[in-house]
Amino acid sequence: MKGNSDITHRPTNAMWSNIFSRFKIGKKISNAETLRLCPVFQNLTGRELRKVAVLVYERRYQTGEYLFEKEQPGTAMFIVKTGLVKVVIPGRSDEEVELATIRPEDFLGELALLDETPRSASAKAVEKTEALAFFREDLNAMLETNPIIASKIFRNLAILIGQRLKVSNEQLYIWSIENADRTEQA
Amino acid sequence: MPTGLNRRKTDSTIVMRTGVRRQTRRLVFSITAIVVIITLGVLIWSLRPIFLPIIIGMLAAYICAPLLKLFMRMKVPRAAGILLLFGVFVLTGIIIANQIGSIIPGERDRLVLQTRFQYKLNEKYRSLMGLDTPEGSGNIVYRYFGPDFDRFMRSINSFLSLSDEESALFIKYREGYRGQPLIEDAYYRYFLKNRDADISRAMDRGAEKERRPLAPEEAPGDSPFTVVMNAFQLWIIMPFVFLFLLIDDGEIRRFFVGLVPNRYFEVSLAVVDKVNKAIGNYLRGILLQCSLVGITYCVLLVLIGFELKMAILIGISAGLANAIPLLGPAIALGIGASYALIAENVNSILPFITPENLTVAIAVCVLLVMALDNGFYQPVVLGSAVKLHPLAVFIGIMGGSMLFGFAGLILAIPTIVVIKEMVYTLFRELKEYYII
Repeated sequence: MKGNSDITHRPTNAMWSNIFSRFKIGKKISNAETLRLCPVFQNLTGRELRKVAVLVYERRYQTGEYLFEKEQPGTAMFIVKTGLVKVVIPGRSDEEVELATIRPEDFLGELALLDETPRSASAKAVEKTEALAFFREDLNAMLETNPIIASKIFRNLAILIGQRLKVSNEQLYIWSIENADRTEQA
Repeated sequence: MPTGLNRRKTDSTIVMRTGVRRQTRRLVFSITAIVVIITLGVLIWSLRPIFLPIIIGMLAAYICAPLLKLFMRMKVPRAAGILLLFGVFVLTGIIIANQIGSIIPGERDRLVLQTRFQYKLNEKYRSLMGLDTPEGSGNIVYRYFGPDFDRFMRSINSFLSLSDEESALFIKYREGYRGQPLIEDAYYRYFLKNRDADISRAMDRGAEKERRPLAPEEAPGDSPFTVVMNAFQLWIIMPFVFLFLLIDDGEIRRFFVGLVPNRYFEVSLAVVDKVNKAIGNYLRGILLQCSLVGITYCVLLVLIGFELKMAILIGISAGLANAIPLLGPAIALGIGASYALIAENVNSILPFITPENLTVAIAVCVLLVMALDNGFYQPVVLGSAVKLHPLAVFIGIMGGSMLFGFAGLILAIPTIVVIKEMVYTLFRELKEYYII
């Protein structure tokens, strides 16, 4: 996981800060640069990344705000630009069970790019967070207008999901062996 | 180390602050929404003359968007695709304007048409009421309802009869004027008979014939150049709206979705996308359906012996009006029957069609097109696209035409469809997302 040490927030006062922002040491990271660091957009050229960058939606979340909630239909994948997001599910009591922590340049909700099935967990910003949302229908439209870019993204998605499936299968295998051992011992 | 009391105080302050902030935010949103709605309302009302060109430009861009995607799929650069579509759009506009200009009768043709129509209408009326017999007392229908029918015909005649200036012009054209062909003897006879009938009607009433006011285009001060320039100033907006909407690569959508609070972000994306698809399908479907109806009218009218020019005019009018339920057939029947009334001879490839039964042939054509439209075009092209309640259609057309005139009449139904689809999709998605 990469840190966000090179990221600074846009200065509040506008004109001169904007003009001289190019000369600052820690300049604001662009959407295309954020996408470049995300595995879903690996292998995309700079030009292709810029084409994707104009399609994404920039969102800002306050601490405690949800990016999405469990059981809602998914429409977009989120890439965290700055801040911190926790993936949670409701526990037996009122407390939420934390499943994962998403840091800058990580992504979440990627299955929403494939279909409209409900979200399996909620995502909550635990500090002020900036995220990029990539909408499923924009990716589908890209299949027509920029099929090469769309196919690269789908391929990356397939690889990522395949890797997760392998890990799940290995875990299941280990669990089944352990379970069999326990049954034999009993 | 804060004491328990202090902590409670701090907690309650935070809760209060959050509550106040939420209330302030709600107030700001409400006031902004009200101001935006009022401003939009005032703007729409004051800018209604440019309403039609803007909406047509928007619709054309909406309909052409898939073509741009197709070009991009064919490896045509986006800019080149936009330029190509813009060129085709401007060219089509020029051709349509020229064609409409050539189809719309000029001054001479209008005078002749008006004279023929008045003469033939009175002739048919006399024949229907049995007034053309030697006794001239009329049939049973005329004996019962004669005075009412006569009053109705007098009002039609006062509308159709030529004014003094128009009569003078007719005589000038009869003798050769502005290099136009001479008016035929038969039509001059109609003119004389109409004039005699007008004079006798005026004498019957014991008053001078009412003079119709000059047509707007003839009103002093509005020269044809001014009229053309005014129309040009309004319609010049249309190609620019078309161009800028094609150039827009989702920026407008992104801007509006950017304003949506985080809680409604995903649902707004889903709603915008679904509404966009539904409306796009509807508009493209209705365009194709109207074109098919228009072409069918053209072909059938030519087959029964209409002049090509007239068939195209009726085809375009009926095709356009077909977006409004029942108005398309009514327009086709109205204009077609009027034409049949003045038709002197018919050159149909079907031997049994004569000027006498041309009106029946038109009614058959209209029925045939309606059957084709309902049985084939609508189910195949529009599918199960948005259906409207007849009451909504009626109120929409009336309200639209009262508020925005002709533009309101034509655009009422698409606007109602858009609003219905937006509201339906919004509520469906809000339920899907457990927001309501």
